[in-house]
Amino acid sequence: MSSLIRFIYILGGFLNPHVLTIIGASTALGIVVGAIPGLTATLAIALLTSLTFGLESWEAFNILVGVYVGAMFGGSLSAILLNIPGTGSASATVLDGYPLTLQGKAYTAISLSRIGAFFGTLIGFVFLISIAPPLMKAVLRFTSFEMTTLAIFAVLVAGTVSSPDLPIKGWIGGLFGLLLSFVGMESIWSYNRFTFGLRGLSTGIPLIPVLIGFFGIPQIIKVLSGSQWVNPQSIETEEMGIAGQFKLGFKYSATIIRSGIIGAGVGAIPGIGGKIAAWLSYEAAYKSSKNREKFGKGAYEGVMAPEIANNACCGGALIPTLTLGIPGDPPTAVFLAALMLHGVTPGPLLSIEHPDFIFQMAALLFIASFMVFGLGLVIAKPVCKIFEIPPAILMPIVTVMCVIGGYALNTRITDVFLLFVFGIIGYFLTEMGYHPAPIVLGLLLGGMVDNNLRRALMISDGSILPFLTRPISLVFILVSIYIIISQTSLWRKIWQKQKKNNISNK
Amino acid sequence: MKKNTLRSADLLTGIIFIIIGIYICYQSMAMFYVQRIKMQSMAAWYNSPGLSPLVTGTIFTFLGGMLTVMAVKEGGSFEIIRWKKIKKILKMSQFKKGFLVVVLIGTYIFILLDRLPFFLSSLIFLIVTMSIFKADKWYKIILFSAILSWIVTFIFGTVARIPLPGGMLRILFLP
Repeated sequence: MSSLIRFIYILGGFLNPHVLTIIGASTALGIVVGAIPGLTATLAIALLTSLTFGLESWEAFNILVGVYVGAMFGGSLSAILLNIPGTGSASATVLDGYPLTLQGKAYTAISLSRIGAFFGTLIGFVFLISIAPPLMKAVLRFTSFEMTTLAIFAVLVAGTVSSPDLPIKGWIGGLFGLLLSFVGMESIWSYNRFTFGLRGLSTGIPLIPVLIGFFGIPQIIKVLSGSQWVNPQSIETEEMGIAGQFKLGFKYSATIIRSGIIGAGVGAIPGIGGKIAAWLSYEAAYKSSKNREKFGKGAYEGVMAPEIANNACCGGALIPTLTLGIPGDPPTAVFLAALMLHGVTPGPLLSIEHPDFIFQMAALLFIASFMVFGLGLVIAKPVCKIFEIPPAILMPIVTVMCVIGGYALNTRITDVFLLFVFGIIGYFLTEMGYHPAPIVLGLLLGGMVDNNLRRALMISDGSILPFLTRPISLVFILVSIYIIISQTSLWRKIWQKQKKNNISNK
Repeated sequence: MKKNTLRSADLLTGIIFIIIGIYICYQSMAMFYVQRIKMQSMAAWYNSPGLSPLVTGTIFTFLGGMLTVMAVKEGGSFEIIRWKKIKKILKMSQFKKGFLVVVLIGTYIFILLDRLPFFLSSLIFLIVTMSIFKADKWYKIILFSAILSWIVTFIFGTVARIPLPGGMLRILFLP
């Protein structure tokens, strides 16, 4: 109770026009940055850390939190409208967001994403102020064994739910991504793997250019060659009212709670981030939905679930960042550096040195969630006007933005070359029924799988038994086995037979 | 893509995946030996840099094999690589347009971007692409491309302070 009173007291202090303007403007900036393919929350926070260094500490934190939350929502806009996720966390939103746009329901898709972002951020906030200490105890049980099985599980999930053709293609995509991640110098022995003597490859294959390449270039080729574009006449003209949106939120309350818990929980695991949270949440929504056949074709829960999770991840990721000084995801790693630059050292001593700091962060998240909702309402209509721009004008602009996005993070021209090469590969793969999402997720998680697998085996002296004796790891293994078996034709036959029997018994 | 053509493409890619998988397994095995020579007493199979690629490569090869078998079972054949079929694909207008887009983006990335200042290379790319795809009247295309290139260069180069790509000529455009 005293925590709640402290929070309300701090929140009251933030509710003044000056602070609200700063958070509003920074959230809007975050939405714009997130919507541009390749410009991530990490990059935005990194750039703004130096730009805000001269400001008062609390002003800088307002800006950084606003940008962080805004970018998480912004990533979904380009995913829904253009089939190009603005950020990696929005790669699961593409699956049902873009099909909704093709059906002329872009407004609805944005509304769902906005509701998801709003409730997701709120759930993250609740986690941050209420259950940070017990959650951290559970999270600290995640060792290399659990990390390995979690990463493999996530790649498997992404492969299973995203393949438009055969499920095996999703897994091949995930493995292809994992193989790409092994290129470069590995971290334990500094051994150069699959670099073919090219020095440029020793730093590995960067994620962002590959993400943009796999999603962006195929989309640009498809639209300009006339095989896929949205007819502006088919777009719905009226957006759902606020009451209707909350009604929709109430209808999917189970999805909101489940995805929020997944998002905040996964976010609290150091080094994981919104991408895995979004995929796990999508899988959970798919498994528990009554309308599974709609998934991948424009299911409402398919848009909401990943958005709730990756926004809940913001609050979740702040938990280890603030309480242990270990960043929850890449944006919070940069945020951690920003905090230290302003004289705040996160970690166990934070609650002694700055007793109200966690509550201040929670209050900022709380305000930012309302800002995302309000700004989302304002921008929905203008961003849907994008389809009134002829593709011959829009797509060259998208190309320039993709190039900038691929280049900006490392400022290396070779990254742009890679973007193009993977774009061409991505085009052929998507034409053959491979979805780019598991490839990108495989590339992202490959390092985690490799390092944790070897670290775990070193701890157990080469024994694989701990993978089976540790409860969390065992759960991931069993669920992974279930997913694999459930995709086999034998299992489907048994399942269909069972279904027929049930119908005939009725 | 038609199902028959798709399965033929699957057959071909399945074989390519098997070859890639075998190559990765071979390279990973080599890493075990190199590690044993370099690290000697510290070397163990479970901390070798080749462990994860070997496991992944093996599963990749297996799945490539499964894809090949599935493709053959569902009517996949090597017809897709026959000259007659290739000629038919090359004549499709969708392919021609797609190829043109690839050439335009490739020219922008590999030739213009590394030689000219970002503003100029983007301006040329936008004008040429919009003109080829007949976006609007020529003067509007030029005006629109110039404004857009300037905005992007200003926001990312000046405001966000990202050192934009540019070749030798970049120095002429520095303030």
